[in-house]
Amino acid sequence: MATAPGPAAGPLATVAPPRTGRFSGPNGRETATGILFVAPWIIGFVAFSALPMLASLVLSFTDFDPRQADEIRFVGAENYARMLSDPTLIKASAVTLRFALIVVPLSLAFALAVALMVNSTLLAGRNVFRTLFYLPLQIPIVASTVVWIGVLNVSNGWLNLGLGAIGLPAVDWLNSTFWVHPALAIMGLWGIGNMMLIFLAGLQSVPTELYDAARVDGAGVWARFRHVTLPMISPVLFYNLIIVLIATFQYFTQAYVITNGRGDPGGETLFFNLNLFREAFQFYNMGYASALAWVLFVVVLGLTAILFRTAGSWVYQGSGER
Amino acid sequence: MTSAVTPRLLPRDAAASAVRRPFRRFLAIAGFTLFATMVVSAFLMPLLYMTSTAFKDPNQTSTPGAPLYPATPDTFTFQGEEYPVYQVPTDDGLMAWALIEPHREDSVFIDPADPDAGPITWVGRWRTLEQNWTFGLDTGNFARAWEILDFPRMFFNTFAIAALSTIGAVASAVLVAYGFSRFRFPGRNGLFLLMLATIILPFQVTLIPTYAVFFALGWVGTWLPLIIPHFFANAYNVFLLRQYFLTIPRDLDEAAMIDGAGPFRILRSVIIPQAIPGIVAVSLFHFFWAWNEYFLPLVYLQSAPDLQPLSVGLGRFNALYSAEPTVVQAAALLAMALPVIVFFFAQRAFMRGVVFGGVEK
Amino acid sequence: MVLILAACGSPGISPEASTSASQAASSASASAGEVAEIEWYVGLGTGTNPEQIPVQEAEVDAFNADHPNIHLTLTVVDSEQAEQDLATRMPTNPPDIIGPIGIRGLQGFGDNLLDLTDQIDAAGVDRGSIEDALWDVYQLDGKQIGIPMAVYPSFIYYNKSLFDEAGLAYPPHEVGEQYEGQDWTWETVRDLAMQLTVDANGNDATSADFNPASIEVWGLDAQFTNNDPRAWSTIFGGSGSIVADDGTTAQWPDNWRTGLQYFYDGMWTDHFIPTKAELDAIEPGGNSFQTGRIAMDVVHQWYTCCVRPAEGDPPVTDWDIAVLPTGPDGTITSKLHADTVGILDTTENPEAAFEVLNWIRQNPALLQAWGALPAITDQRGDFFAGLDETFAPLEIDWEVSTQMLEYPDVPSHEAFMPNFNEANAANGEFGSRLWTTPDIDLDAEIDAHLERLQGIFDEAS
Repeated sequence: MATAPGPAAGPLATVAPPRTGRFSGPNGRETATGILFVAPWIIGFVAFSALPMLASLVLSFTDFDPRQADEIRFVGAENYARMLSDPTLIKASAVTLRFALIVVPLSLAFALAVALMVNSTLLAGRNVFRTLFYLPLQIPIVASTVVWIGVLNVSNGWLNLGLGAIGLPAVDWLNSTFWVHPALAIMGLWGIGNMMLIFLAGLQSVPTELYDAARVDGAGVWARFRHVTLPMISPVLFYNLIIVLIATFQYFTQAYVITNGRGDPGGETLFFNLNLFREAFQFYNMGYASALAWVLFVVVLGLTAILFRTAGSWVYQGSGER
Repeated sequence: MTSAVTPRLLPRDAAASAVRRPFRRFLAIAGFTLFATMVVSAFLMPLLYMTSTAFKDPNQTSTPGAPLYPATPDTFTFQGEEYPVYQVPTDDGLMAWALIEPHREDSVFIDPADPDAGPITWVGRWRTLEQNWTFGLDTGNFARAWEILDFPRMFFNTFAIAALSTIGAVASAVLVAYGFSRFRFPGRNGLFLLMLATIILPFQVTLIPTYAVFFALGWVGTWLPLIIPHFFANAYNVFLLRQYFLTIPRDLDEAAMIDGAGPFRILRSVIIPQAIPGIVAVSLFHFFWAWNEYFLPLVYLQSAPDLQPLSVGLGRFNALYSAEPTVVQAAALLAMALPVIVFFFAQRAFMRGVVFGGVEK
Repeated sequence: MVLILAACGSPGISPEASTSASQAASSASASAGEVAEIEWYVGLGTGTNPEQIPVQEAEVDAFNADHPNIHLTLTVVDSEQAEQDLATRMPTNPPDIIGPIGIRGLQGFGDNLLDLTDQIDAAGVDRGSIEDALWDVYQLDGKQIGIPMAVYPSFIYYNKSLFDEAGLAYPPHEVGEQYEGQDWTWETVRDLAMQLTVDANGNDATSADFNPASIEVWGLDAQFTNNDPRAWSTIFGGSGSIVADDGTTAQWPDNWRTGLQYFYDGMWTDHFIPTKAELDAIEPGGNSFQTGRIAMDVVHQWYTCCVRPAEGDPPVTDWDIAVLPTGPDGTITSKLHADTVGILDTTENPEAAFEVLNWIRQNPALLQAWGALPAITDQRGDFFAGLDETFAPLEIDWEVSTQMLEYPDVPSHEAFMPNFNEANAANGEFGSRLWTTPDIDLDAEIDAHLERLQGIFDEAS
């Protein structure tokens, strides 16, 4: 079957493999083959995504109310202009950014730490541990939210009972403007199963030879992690970063269920997308909601594009991205 | 700790070090596993709460002083009525008496050991007394969930929708990711960014037009809107597999190419075997997402209750004004059983895949 | 622009254009003996409980068996998702009938409901069988958008065991009756409720040793009024309106300020009403009376749905209902809920839809399943008899309910506000704040809230 990577290659050696062979330059045949493989997505995009996306862009220039679809009016850039003087939107954007600054690094670090732990040869029963860390993702959202409301209750929630057992004061997690973000972040950690799995897949594909070579060079645990593991899993780290970034900017479900969509307490959980949802389906300002969506879209797409630009400098491409 | 030090004092002969090394390794494994167990216990504490809730009588959670574990109050039947038993301090020590008539400053008890002695008036506040509970799992919530939801059919629906959409999603994502990671063509990067764009736009604003498309196609009330789009590769899966494929050294493709293999054969015999962990990850990722997907099945299958998956059925226990937390948890545990088994075995395949992939672990 | 929209939602994204034509066509086709398809959408109010769904399905089957010219289908959607789901469907695939739906819910879809005036007359509906005031509830911009179907006065559900334990007399069942020599006012209720509120050491809320951190029983609650300050103000302060007579100015009448203060102090100062966190601790679903830890609870007639123990030993074994006390405005006010069903004006078969509507609204099996007190006065006796059967051997004094029906809140606490949905959301946020935050200056908070509301009202014009 397939062969192992080149002998005794140091971490840097594989970064720039020799570019030889038929694939070394673009040609008609390569283009045709590439497009052929990508075609399923192109067809699906045209069939199922393009029209709805375009429609929402068009709707963002209207006063569309889904209950009164026939009374739709073109309002020019009015929806976009309205954003400049919408205090709720400003607050929602600030809340979302603040939350993202906690949650993105925290969940990436936690998922990676767990992946390293359940990948360690020092761990007995790794299969069981992997399954256990993945378990929460298999709980239906209706149930898991009810669970968390119970666990985070100020007087008889298990989290506070645990804190009390080690002498810490009780925290009103869900009703305090200060504690609600940490509470949601803790809830978010419960859903790291996918990220963990993806990191794990990355860790699995780091060739053991690299660690052996590093050991021979006298690298300790941290140096091996820093100079072998991190570069080698940087592609999946990059993936997780992009996905968690998109997910955080679209953060919605938990906040919606916990607060019945009101953004309690004090608007601290009125995230950008929850505000968008309210505009769309509670106030029926679908035109304005569409405009909000497209602004978020441009911001997140811009961030993603920037990350892709910087990727060349820190994301390892075993096959040499061309 | 002391035992770890002891071997060091032994003469440094070969036999001793042969004993020492496995022993130290054993200690390291035991210590690390213990640490991991503590982490996972804290992590899964809410799950324990959930399980405990599912096995509780619906009234236990709201009873003051009830234990955290599932339990039933001890009762004593007196003249046809059941009464709860408390620990009552008396001149003869602590007595287990049944409370038959609570009052604020004095209450009437009956001694289960001697009911013929008749009611005893005890002066004191019964709310300060400890109630007697016996550990016991109440399976009534599971019975009720099973009775209300047609679990076999809903399991079948959920599994069918999730499995079909996973097959389509993974097969198409492998092809598309291969295209994006191994071939150069004009507009490739732009196309890739466009693909990511489809998941960046919040779905709330494309919901109505998307519904309109599926309604126009006549797919509302069928599984098709939940399955067919996945046969055309979604961005999450393609992006992940592309990242994974990029880590596979290109020498391997090129060696195969020199042997005369075409792009499809390279995909099949080089890329896929090397990428098994990534493919398994994507499959699990998609399968569980589809398993728990709630809102879209609700929208598209509301007119066809027979086709609804479990996620939609679970919503019934969360009805306005009559939410039943204990039944929700029981039903959710039932709904989880199958995915957990699937995951456990897929996880083993995941490990085997790595070995087959030729990258020695 | 419009072309793109039309393209993306080909069949009838602009229903208006086709409605009148198709109405004419369908009336003709229905009379030609074809089967009219009618979809009945449940989820905006009651009707989604596990035990209600089979009753609805059975009744729909029975209807179809009796009506060869109509094919009725039932769609039940999780109430959490129903508004979003319905909005998603409305541009392309709207149902025909929506309901049961309350007064507040109607504000969201009122503009989409068909005027039933002509059909009501044509079908010979006996308007006199229902109180006039109830008809008015469904008058919107000159349209009669519904036939009154169910009414739910509110009153006090009380847990007799907790009164017995405290050695206190039960609250009055008759309007005008005194309680232990005191007039039955909210002040009397406060004193009573504080005696009923008891902590884990057995101290009641009037005791100096009372510990608010370990309350086991609360004297009073108004459950399921989640975050609605209009509802709280009405219960404890009497009828009022958030909109001044000019229709544009936001206001909080004095009796509402008094009422809201009563409620707020009840939670945070006197501790006889549970706060949000305390409620979550005893019953995350909000059904607090059912836990046996609330002595008196102001809830509507429909609460008979959920006071009934689902399974196992009920903690509330012995309860009854009592009349509401006199409020600060000197009158009794029983916050009223009402339910009906309506027809969306996009229906292709308005006549068949009306036939279904007329059948639903007077179907005793459905009303019983929903715990819905019939708007038709003649049906109420049978309804209460049905409840007696359900709750036997308890004998509930349903006379209380009948008496309370005489004191509805006018205008309704769910009445129209300019920019309704946004104003409603703002009220909800204000309610959350009161419900979760101690030590606030309520008058100042109300004034700040009014300023915000005024901004929302002004956007409407």
